[in-house]
Amino acid sequence: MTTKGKRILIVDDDADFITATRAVLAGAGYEVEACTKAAEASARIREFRPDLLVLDVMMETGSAGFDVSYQVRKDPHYAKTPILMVTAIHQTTPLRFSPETDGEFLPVEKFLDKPVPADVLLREVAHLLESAE
Amino acid sequence: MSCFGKWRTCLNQPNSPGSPGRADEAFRQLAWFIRLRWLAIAGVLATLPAAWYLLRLRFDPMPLLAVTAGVVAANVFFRVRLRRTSTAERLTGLARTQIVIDLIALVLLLYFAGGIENPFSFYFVFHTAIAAFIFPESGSLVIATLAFGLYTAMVLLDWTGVIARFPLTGLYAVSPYQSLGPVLANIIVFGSTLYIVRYFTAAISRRLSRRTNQLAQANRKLLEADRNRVQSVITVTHELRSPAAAAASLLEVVERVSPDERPALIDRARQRINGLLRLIGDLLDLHQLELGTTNVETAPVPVAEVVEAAAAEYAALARERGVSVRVELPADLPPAQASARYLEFTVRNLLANAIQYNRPGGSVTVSARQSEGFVEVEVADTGMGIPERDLPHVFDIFFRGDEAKKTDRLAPGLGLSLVKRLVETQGGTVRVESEAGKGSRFFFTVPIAGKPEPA
Repeated sequence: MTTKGKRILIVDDDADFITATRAVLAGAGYEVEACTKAAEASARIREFRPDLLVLDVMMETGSAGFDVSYQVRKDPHYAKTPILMVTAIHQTTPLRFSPETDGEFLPVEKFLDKPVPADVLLREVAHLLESAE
Repeated sequence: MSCFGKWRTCLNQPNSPGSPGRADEAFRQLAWFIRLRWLAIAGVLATLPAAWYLLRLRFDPMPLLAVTAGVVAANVFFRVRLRRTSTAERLTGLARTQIVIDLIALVLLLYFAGGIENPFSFYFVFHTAIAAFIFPESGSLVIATLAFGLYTAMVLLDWTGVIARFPLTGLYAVSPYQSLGPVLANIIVFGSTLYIVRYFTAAISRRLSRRTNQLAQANRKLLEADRNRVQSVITVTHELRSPAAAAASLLEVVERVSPDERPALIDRARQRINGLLRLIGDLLDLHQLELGTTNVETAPVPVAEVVEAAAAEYAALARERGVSVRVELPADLPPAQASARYLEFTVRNLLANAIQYNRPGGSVTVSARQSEGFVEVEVADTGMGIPERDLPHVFDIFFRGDEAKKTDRLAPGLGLSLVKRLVETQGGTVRVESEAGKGSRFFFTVPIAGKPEPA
């Protein structure tokens, strides 16, 4: 696999999700960094230059994750960085967002519902990294 | 000219200006007017032969038939116009025109059949009542005045002989036109009847539309409350799902980490599940309190001891946050008539918030005083404060200010709504004063023990 050693940044305000996701990804050989505030995500992205983002939706606000994804897409350096959005919401944000209907209009590659089984997470991450190359 | 029945049916169709469907309502009313006018025309055509053959009255039927034909034409016109009119304003205009035309038609019918001698002048009451019902404000006053003016002019002109007389022979032995007295009495009673009918009908109409508006408003509020409830269920589901998902994620990876990392993960998962259980318990308490299914048993509780115990319990958290906690209680503070469990929850919750949402180096002061049969406890902090727009909502279920979310995203926002319900269940009140950036002061009261229970 050519994806090992790739860099992944997790942006999630729930420390336990970071712990769990980091354990899965680091265990599979990825280099993992985490950030608990959407507001700090941009700075961390420039610093760490991730190959993939794992992004939570509800952080400081009900849609902070979406704001981060739009910011990332506006930056030419990261416009093509795959984004995996993980969410416990499924239609409960203030945006009345639904992955099924709004997916096409959001600049993210994939949605997964929390909790994400480890094998599903690894499969999706590997798939996204491969298709990004 | 039988318009009998208009008035009663009118009462069943309250006019409610400003309510949605006002145009529909006006449309239905006008369609009903048109149907009633056909009945009135049939009434005139039935009355003429009855008066002629049964009562043996003598009059000139031709002008009466001509006026009736005019009303038929007007009604056909109204029917056509109604189909092409849709806005409430236009429909109201059409209604006004119809009432005026009806008044003129009635005056003409009276004039061509004896004038003051014709007892159908009573029928002006119907027009006045309907107008007052539809236009309870000044519109109906104009209509009543117009009816009175037309009738008075007709009687006076007829009486003075300025216009040709069309007598109704056979009803009266002596025509009221023979002397001034009966004419004046007739006009005065006629006018006062119209104005009194107008006054009463307008008052009833106003009262009905006020009631209708109140009901519509209550209905809107219920619908809104229902929507909020659905939204609240969705929020609750999310709040329950988050810790469950976090615990599941942690347990998912237990086997993937080194054995010495496992206990920490399992411990975190246990904490999230315990948090979830607490949340479920709080939710249950909250909803039972709301239903009023829990009967609170109160007993004398020493408030000072509860406050001191809570302060001791949170001393560690306060140290960790760099917040100093002061307790200032008067020595003679009386015990409260309260549930010890509720009181403890309330004090601990307010104290924990005051420490949690404070700044390093800040302070929390818990004080209490006695006032008018109640013990009032105050928890004041020097923390972030609450923006004015959030103040009315701090006790709402799941409400969390933006600043509070930044400090601790995972707390679900149940504490203060529980505090409010617990305090109110014990017969007290809660309130908050705050200034953003400077701190908040939460107050709650509990009845003093030994007093009769407040109603």
